[in-house]
Amino acid sequence: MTPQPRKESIVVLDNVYKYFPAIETIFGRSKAYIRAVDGVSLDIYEGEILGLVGESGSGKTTVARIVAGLLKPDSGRVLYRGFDIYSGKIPKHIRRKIQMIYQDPEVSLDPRYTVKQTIEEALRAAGRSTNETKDLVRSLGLSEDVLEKIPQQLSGGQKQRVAIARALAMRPDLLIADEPTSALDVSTRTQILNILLELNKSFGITIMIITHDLGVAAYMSDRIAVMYLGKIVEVGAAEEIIKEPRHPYTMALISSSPSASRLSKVNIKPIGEIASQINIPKGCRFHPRCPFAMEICRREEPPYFDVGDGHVSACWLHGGAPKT
Amino acid sequence: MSTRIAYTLYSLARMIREDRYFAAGFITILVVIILSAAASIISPYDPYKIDLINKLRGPSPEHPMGTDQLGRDLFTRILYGGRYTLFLSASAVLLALVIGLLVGTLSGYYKGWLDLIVQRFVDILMSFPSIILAIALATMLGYGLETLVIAVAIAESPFLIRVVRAAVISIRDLPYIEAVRLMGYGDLYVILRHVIPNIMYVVIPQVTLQMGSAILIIAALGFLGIGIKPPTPEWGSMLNEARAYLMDYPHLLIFPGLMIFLSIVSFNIVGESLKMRLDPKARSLIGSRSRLVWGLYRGGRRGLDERNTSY
Amino acid sequence: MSAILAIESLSIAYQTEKGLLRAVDNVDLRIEDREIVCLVGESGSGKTTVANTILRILPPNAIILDGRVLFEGVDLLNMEEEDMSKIRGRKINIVPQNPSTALNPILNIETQFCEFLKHKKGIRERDRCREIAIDLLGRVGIADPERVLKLYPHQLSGGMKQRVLIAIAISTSPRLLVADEPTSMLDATIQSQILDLLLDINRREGLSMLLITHDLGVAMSACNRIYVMYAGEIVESGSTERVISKPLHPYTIALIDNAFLSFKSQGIKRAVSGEPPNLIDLPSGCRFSSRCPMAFDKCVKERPNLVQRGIDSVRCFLYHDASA
Repeated sequence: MTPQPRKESIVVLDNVYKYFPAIETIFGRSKAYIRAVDGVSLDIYEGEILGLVGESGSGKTTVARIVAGLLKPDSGRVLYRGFDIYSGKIPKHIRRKIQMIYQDPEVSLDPRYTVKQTIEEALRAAGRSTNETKDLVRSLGLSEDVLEKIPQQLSGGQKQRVAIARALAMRPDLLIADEPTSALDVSTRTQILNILLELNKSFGITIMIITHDLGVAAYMSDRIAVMYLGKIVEVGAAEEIIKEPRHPYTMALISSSPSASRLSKVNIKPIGEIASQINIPKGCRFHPRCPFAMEICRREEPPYFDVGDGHVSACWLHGGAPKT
Repeated sequence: MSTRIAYTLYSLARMIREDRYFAAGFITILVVIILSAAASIISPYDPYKIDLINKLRGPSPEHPMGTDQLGRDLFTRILYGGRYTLFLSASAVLLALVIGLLVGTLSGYYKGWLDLIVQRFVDILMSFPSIILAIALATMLGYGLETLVIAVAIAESPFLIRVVRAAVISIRDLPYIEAVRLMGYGDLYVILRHVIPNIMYVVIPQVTLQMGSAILIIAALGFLGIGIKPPTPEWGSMLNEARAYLMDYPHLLIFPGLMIFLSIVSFNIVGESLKMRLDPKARSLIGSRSRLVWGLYRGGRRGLDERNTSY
Repeated sequence: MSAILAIESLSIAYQTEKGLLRAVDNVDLRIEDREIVCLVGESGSGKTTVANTILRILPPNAIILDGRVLFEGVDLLNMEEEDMSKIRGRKINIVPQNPSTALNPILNIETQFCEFLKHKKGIRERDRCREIAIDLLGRVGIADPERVLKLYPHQLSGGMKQRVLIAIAISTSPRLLVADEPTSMLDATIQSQILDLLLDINRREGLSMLLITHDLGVAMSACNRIYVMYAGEIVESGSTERVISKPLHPYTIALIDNAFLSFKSQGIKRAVSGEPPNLIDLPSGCRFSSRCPMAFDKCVKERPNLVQRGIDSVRCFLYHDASA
C-alpha cells in the first residue's frame, strides 16, 4: 500500500452531533434522545470515493443528509469548500454542486413527471439548456424512448439511472449516494456502480457512497469509514480496512459479509445484537458485543489511535499514543 | 396535458365499468346536475308562480310530483332547488378546499409552532359536530348567500386541513421532493409543482365525501330557516315549508327528502370508491390478511381450481 | 430414492391485465433427506412462486399449468385442502422474509406460541405449552426464554423475532422448512447469526430445508446444493462448491462475478447489460440470450433444454454438444 498524497478536503465534518427526540412531546423537552450522530469528524478529499459503512442504526444516512445540507446538526461544523453549509452564507451556485442519489428508486422520482420533465427541471435549475436532455439520458445508457415515460413504466435500474442523470444535470462536484444499489438486483447493481466509478474517473466528481455492504464499499471506495452507533470507529484506505482491519467491529462486519470475507482473512463473530441508539453503552459503544472487550472498554470511550497512513481506529487494543 | 385529461377520462370509464356502486353514484350525480342546470328547458313552469286553484295536488301527468300549498309545480321547484343546494354546497366545499390546501400544506410542510397552533385550532373546530358549527357560524354571520357558503366552508374545512396536512407530511421528505429542494428551487415552487399534485389522490376522494356532508348541512340550515329562506326553492327550505302538511300531503316532503338522500348517498359512494381506488393505504386495510403466526400457514384452493385449464 | 420433496415440470402463470405472466416454467427440483437446497434468483425469477406452490399459498390469480409437487411421494397439488392443512404447518413449515409482519403486534410471544401449538399439535394446557416453548426458544439460541415469552413483538429486535419464528417453525418437528429470504431484512452481523442457526437446526433436528435467496453469499455459506433460476426457468443446478467455483451457465458466471466484488484498484467488473425479459411476452429463444456475452444465432432462435450430468444440470447451448 503506497501512502496516498495528501489531498485537499472538499468536505470537513468537525465534531458533528445530531440527536432526535425519541418521544415527541407537545410542550417541554423530550428526555430520551436517539443519538443518531454522536460526535463525527470526517474529511472527504477532492476527487476521492469515500465509502461510509454501517448497519442500520449506525447513523450513516443521517451523516449523508447532514453533508448534503438537508439536516442541520445540533452542534459541530460542516464545511463545503470552506463555506459553512448551515451558515446561510454559502452561495447558492456552490451549494447546488452537492447532489444526492437515493436508496429507493420507487420514491426517487416524482411519480407524475415524465423522465423528460424531471431532467429538464434539473437543467433549468442549473441554468443549462433543455436541449441537453437527450444527450444526458443517452450518456447514462438509456434509450431515448424513456423520455416520455413516467417512473411507473421504468425498471428499478432505469429509475436509478434517471436519478443519476438528474443529479448530473446540476454538474455536481460532490455526489452523495445513499445505498444506491441496495434495492437493485445483483446484475443491475454492477451497472449502476460502474456508472458512478466512471463519473468519478472521467469528471473527477467526488463521491460519498453510503452502504451496509462492505463488498460494495471495497469495490467503489478509495477510503472506507466504518460507523457504529453514531460514531466512526475506523477510517482508512479501502484495501487496508478490508485486509487488515484494526477495529473488532470492522472485523466482525467483514466476517459476516460473504463477499467481503473473500477479500480478507479475518474471521470473528460478534456477540448479540446492535444496542439501542437511545441507551448507547458506556465506555466503548461496541464493548458488549466485542470478543476482545477489556476492563477499560467498559469504563472509558476509546480515543482515535493512528495506526499509520491515515488509518485511524477507535479501540483500546491499540494502546500506544492516541491521535491528537 | 391533453394526455393527462385523456387518461383521467379513461380511468373514469374503467371505474364505471368495473365498479357498479361507483357507476350508480356517479351517474346519479351527473343526472341530478344536468337536470338542475337544464331546469328552465325541462320544465315549462315558473318555480315562483303561485296557482292557488291547483294547490296541493298529487302527482299527475301535468305535475309529475304534484303541486305545493301555493300551487307551484313541485318538480320544477325541485329542479331549481337543485341549483341552490348543489351550487351552494359545491361553492362551500370549494372554499373549504382552498382553506384546506392553504392551511394544511403550510402546516404540514413547515411543521413547528405554526403546525402546533393550527392543529389545536382544528381540534377545537372538530370537537363540534360540523352541523352545529355551521348553525352557530351562520347565525353569527347573519343572513346571506355568501355568509352561508362561508359558514359551511368553515365547518367543512377541518377535515380537509387534516387530510391535506397528513398527506403533505407523508411526502414532504421523500427523495423526489428533497431532490428538487437540492436543485435550489424555492418552497413555493416545490409545493405547487410537486407537493400538491402528489397529494391530490387523497384530497379528491375527501372533497367528494365533504360534498355529501355539505349538502346535508345546507339542507339542514334551510330546514331550520337559518339558510336559504322561502320562497327560494332549496331542498331544505322546501322541507321546512312542507312540514305543516306532513300528514295529509306527504309527497311534499318525500320528493325533496329523496333528492337530498340520493345526492348525499351518491357523493358518499363515489367518494369511498375513489378513496379505495386512489389511496393504496385504504385498499390495503381492506385486503390485509391475518397477521397471526398460523395465518402464515393458511392456504386454500386458490389457484388450484383453474388447474389444467388450457391456455 | 429418499427425496423429501420432488418438484416435477412445474409451470405456473399469473393472470394479469396485460396477459398471462409465466412466472415459473417447467421447473424440476429435488430435495433429499436432511439436505439444504438453495433456490437462487433475482427479483422476478419465480423463486417465491415456487415456494408458495409447495405450501399452496398462491394468490388467487395464479394458475398451475402443469407439474407435480411430490412431498414424501404424495402430490400436494392434487390434495384436498383439508389434508393439505395437516401438512402445512406440521410437516412443512415456513421461515418468513419479514419477521415483523409475521407476528401479531398485540399478542405476546407466549400467546402466539400457544395459539400455534393448539392449532397444529392440539396442546391446550398453558403450562405444557410454556414448557415446550421455553425448550424450543433455548434451542434457537435465546438465552432467557422465560422473559422473551412475556414480551410483545415490538420489544424484540428483528433478529430475535426471526429466532422466535424459527422456534415456532420447528415446534412440530417438520420434515421440511421453507425459508424465503429469511435474512434479507436483517443486518449483516445478525444475518450470519441466523444463517448459522438454520445450519445448526438442520444438523440437530434432521430436517431438510429449501432456502430461497437472491444473495449468492447466503447460498454459498448455507447450502449443499444450488438451483439457479432466471426468468422462470432453472438455468443451472449442482453442488454449491461446483456452482460457485466452476459455474457453467453464462448467467451464473455473471451472477457470481457480480456478487463477489473485488477492490477498486483491481478494476471494473463487467456488468451484465440490459434487463431480464418480460415474462408476459417471452422471447422465443434462450431467455438470457439478449444479455449473454456468449450468445450465438441458435440462442436467439431456439430454446435450450436442461442438460443433466449427474447432479449437475445446465440450460445452455454451449453444453449441448458435450452431452450428446
